[in-house]
Amino acid sequence: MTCGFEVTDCFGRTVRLSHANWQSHIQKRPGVAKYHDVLPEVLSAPDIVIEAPGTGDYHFYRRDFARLRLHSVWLHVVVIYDADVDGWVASAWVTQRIRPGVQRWPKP
Amino acid sequence: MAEALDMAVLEREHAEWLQRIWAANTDLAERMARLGVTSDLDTKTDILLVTIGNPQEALTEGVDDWLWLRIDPDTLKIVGFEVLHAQAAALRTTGFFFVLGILFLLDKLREQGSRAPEAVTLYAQLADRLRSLAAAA
Repeated sequence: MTCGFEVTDCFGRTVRLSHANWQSHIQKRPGVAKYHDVLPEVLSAPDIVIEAPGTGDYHFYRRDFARLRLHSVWLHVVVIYDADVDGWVASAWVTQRIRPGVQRWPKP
Repeated sequence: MAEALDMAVLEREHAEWLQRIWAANTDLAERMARLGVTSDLDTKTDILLVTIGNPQEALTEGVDDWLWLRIDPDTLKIVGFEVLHAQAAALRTTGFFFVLGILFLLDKLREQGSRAPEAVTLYAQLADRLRSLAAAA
C-alpha cells in the first residue's frame, strides 16, 4: 500500500509526500506514523504557518490532532517549496512550542 | 486563534523553553557516552538525524532554523537531534561542520569496535558544539 499523497495547501500550492520519504521518516521516528492520515489536513487547514527566514522552509502547525503521553502538542509538518511553487514534505514531528519566524498563516 | 502572533512574546517564551531544556541536560555528554549515538544523513531530504540510545517518541523543538532537538516530554532530556539542510548548514556554519565531523569520527571508532577514551572526548565535544549552536541562535 502506498502512503504518498498530494494535497493543495492553504496557500493554493501543491505539496507532495512520497511513499519512500514517509517510510524512511517513520522508521527512525517512533510515534509519528499514526498521524499519517491527518497530515493533508495539517497542510490544507493549519492553525499557524511560520516561515523560517534562514532556510525558507514553511512550518505548518495544527493543535488538535496530536498528544504525546499526557502533553497536548502541535502536529508540525515541515514543507520545502521548490522555486516557491510546488512543495514537498521534508519532515513531520510533534512539537510543544512554536519556533518564532515569519508568520504566513493566518495571513497577518 | 489570533490573526497575528506576537513574535516578541513567542521569542521570549521560546527562549525560556530552551533554557529549561538545557538546564535538564547537564549530563548530555555522559548520556551520549553511556547510551551511544547513531547518526543517519538522508541524502534525498538532506536531513541529518542523530539518535541517543534507542529511538523513542519525542518532542521536536527548534533551536534555530536548522537545528531541532528531540526531547523526552516528561524529563526534557535530549534523546536526539535533527539538522535540516544538513550539508548546506555544514558549509554555512563551522559549528555544524564540526558536528558532522565528530559524528563521522564516532562512526569510524564504532566500526573499529573501539570504546576508547577518544570516544568519550568526542561525545563531550559534540555536547559542547550543540550548546554553542544553541547559544549562538
